[in-house]
Amino acid sequence: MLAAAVLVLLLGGGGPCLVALCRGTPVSRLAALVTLSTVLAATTALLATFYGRTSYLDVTLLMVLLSFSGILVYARFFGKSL
Amino acid sequence: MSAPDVAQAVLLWAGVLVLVVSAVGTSLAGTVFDRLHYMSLGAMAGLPLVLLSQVFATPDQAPKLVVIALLEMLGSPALTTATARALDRRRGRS
Repeated sequence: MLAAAVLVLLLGGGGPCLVALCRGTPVSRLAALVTLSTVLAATTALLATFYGRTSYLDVTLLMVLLSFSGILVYARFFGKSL
Repeated sequence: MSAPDVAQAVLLWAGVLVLVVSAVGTSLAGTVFDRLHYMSLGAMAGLPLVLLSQVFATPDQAPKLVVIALLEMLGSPALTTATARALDRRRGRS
């Protein structure tokens, strides 16, 4: 069940976000990046359970923290510099 | 199949469904503001549902999962606001 959920997340969630990252305005690409980071956080959390290594949840925690600060920097950059 | 297993499956697939709808909506919505709505849908509902389903699978990791879900739920409005503000500033210049 977990493997199927990961597959659906990567194909149904990650695929459209990757396509949206490659086209559109910079701000719409940023929205796609936010959604992609959320999808990848869910994927890594599921993989940690799937492989039975719950210490890998730290990867999810770091990903959520770093994507938050990174996207704030991108938003500030797009709002002021371009 | 026990009750926790059913709860885990329901929460997991509900979260996956919400995340997929969020991703497809973010990619295909007409305006950027519509995309922002879909973007926050995944962070506010999709990821917490997936993480909550994993609480049933690994109860000893429940605090960490709850912290991750709370961080995402608290950070998502800030990200949406920052993105919308960036869009507003860009429109103001053009």
